[in-house]
Amino acid sequence: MEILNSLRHIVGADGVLAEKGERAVYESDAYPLEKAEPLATVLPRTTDQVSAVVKLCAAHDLPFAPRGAGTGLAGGTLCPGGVLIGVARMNRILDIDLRNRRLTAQAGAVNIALTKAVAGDGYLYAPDPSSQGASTLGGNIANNAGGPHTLKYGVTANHVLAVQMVLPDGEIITLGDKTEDVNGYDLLGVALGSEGTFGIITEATVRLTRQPQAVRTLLAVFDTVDDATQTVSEIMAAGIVPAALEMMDAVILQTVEDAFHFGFPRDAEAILIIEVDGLEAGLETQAESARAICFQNHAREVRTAATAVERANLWAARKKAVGTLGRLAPSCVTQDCVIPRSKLPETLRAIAEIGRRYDLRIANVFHAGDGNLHPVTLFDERNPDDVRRVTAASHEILELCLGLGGTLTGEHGIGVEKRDYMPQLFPPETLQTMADLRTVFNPTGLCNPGKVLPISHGCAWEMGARSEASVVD
Amino acid sequence: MTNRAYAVLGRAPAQAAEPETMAQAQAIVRAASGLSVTPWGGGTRQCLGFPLERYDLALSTAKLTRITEYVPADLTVTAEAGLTVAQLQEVLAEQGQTLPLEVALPSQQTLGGVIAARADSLTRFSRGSVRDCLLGVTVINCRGEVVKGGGKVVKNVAGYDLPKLYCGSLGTLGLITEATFKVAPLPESSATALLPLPADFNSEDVLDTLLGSDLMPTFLFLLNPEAARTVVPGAESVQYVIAGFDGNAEAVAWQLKTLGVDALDSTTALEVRSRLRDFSLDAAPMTAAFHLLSSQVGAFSRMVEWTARRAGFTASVVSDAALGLMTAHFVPAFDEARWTSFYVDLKDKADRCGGSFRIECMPSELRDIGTQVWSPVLPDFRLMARVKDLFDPERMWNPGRFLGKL
Repeated sequence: MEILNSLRHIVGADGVLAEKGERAVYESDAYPLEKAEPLATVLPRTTDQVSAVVKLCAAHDLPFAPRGAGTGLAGGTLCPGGVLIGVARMNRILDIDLRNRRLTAQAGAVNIALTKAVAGDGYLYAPDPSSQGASTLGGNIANNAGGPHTLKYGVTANHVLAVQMVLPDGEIITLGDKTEDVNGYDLLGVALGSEGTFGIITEATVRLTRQPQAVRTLLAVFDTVDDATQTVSEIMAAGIVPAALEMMDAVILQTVEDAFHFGFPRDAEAILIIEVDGLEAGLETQAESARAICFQNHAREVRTAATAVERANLWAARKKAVGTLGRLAPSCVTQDCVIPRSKLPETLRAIAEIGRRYDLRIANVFHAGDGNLHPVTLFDERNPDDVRRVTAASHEILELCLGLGGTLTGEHGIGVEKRDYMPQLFPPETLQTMADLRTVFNPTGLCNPGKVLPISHGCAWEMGARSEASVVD
Repeated sequence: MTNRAYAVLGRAPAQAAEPETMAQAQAIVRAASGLSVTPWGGGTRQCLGFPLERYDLALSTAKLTRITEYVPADLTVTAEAGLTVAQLQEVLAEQGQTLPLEVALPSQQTLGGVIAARADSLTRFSRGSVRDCLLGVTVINCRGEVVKGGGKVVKNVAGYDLPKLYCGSLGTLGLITEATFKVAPLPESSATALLPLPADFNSEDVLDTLLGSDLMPTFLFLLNPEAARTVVPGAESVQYVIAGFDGNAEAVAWQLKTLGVDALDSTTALEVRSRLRDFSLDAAPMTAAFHLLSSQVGAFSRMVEWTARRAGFTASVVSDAALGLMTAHFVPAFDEARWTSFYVDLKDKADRCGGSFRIECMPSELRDIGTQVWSPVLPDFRLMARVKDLFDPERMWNPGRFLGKL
């Protein structure tokens, strides 16, 4: 195909993946319920190459989309019949300015690599999604990724000062700069979390954070989910600002324990990981307040991580928890809804009830402190009845959260997965405003089409259910 | 209030309206089709921007002051745009909570105004800016429709981040009527400390040492001697570093001990803190705000002072040394002082420094020759112009006022 030759001309023969098997590799990301093969995946090494690829696609009216590590959970990188622009080879750290606490890296740099690059100097890059060992800076920015420690430190958007982006017409533009403020409309702010629909991010400058002087990590064990969720609500209400406040329930505790042998009690119904950090002075007082609230809510025991290694092991177990569910079922879908924190206990009870009704196992592992739930539903994607029940249960969970004043997604994005739920959350005028904003950046609609909004370009509604063929069976 | 009270740069509107409900505000906007409308909060930042192309209607939020939802356990609050920051803080304080923004003139600045003008906060270094704590926003657009961006929960990536678009849009995209913010627990303990430095001392080493240390100041400011005169009671003619510490009592005490200074007594501390907070809105013939890197603050502060002095002006310079944000007020020291030549010199210095700046208010001598309010204008302006075209095609909202006369 002529287009493939043109792509090879831009990024080199080893940078174009278009054979059948290669296309299959890129047919989905970590969202298992929808798959679509791209025409080709290209792996550029420079921003200029990205720009040339985008210009070529625009000239041929071909859709294109960015892809980082493919860890996204909402199908944001599906690019049926188009050109997937993988930034994996653009993984260099370009500049470290410790005096101003800034780091600039290419979009394909892996999240954890940023922190590793400055850890020896006492700094870190604060956003720490569980996928941080694989997910890229570009992908994190596109989805405004969160993570356990965003409870205190904020999400990706709070830490990005500038991005270099290839606009959908191929122009290379920089939004923001190394300083804290720029003039005019906050185009950087709206580009963060735009799920690759505004352009292809190729570089970013982020803020570095000093490592805390001291950390206390507590593991609280509960005999009921209710006691655990009540503890979360009370800790937040008491004015303690933990660095992280995470919960895991009985289902996931078993598989995590099988995988990591951390020593989690197998008969517990829920555990909380409570971390406070900051100056050593006064930290024990904070930890003690948190411990007291745990015991008031009938915690069976509260352990403290004794060493840095123990703390690291605990976090490794938490961050890799979802992966361990592979021991129970061939597939799982992770939800990402957010509810007001005071509604945590009733929401968890309702989710358990939905699981019972649809005869599905739902594990819970989530960022309890900010009300960001991750119910993980286990199923077999080869079984159409499983898929049907999972879809229905997911739908009910989302409706539940919206009914409680929550939102569809806290950190994973809308992608294709939740696109059709957007009208339940936002009125038509708001959706139209969002569509207008997309038009500012992406007037032709070729950049990552079919994501985020149920409105196509030209304002026609794409509200019909997606075709059965697109659902894996 | 008479229409005169809504004058922008000396120009009064033909009409003014103070809707009491969102529905009334919508009706007014629908009826205002074809007119130019200027949203009006506390009126503290109305000197910012280019002269309006047209000015038919001032639309005030003065009567939109309800707190619509506040569940302390959720650590979020939703309120109407006309509520002042001080009024909201009072309600939150009853529950031991606070909006993590210490903006200038909190009794005058409204929530809507703080968002629209992206007001800066004394404690931004540690607690973030309005951009960081704004969770959701309700806006009436040019068609009188209600647009709801963001939401009421603390983490939300559903759809595009409209709150960030409206935050800092200076009333050029619609009327902000309601907003949801993250709130935070009130700190258990607070302290403010002064570190005097000789007037011509290079402050950079001190600031670098502080920022590289284990200390976690809530704010860290550098004041030149002229600014110190207005902020620090009984100031000597020296530079001052002012550091604030908030948090649990043990941590605050440890930091003061490590720094080796005593905290100001609570009355003086309160006074210094509020004067420092209000400094950016002190009246002056010309005020400029520079966005730099923290490493540039010491040298650039002195450069601004010298450039002003050479041109016959006195400069009061206050810098958020942790963030690299600087505000300077300029007053002529002699009758012969010329704004035009001084501005050229100052702009040249700022441009060489990188970053960006805005002239928050300027004398008519500069305004009359079309001096840029915001510099530089970069290639992304093309996108900004497209935002304005799509969101406000009839140029209803604050026409001609914003960057590039949008």
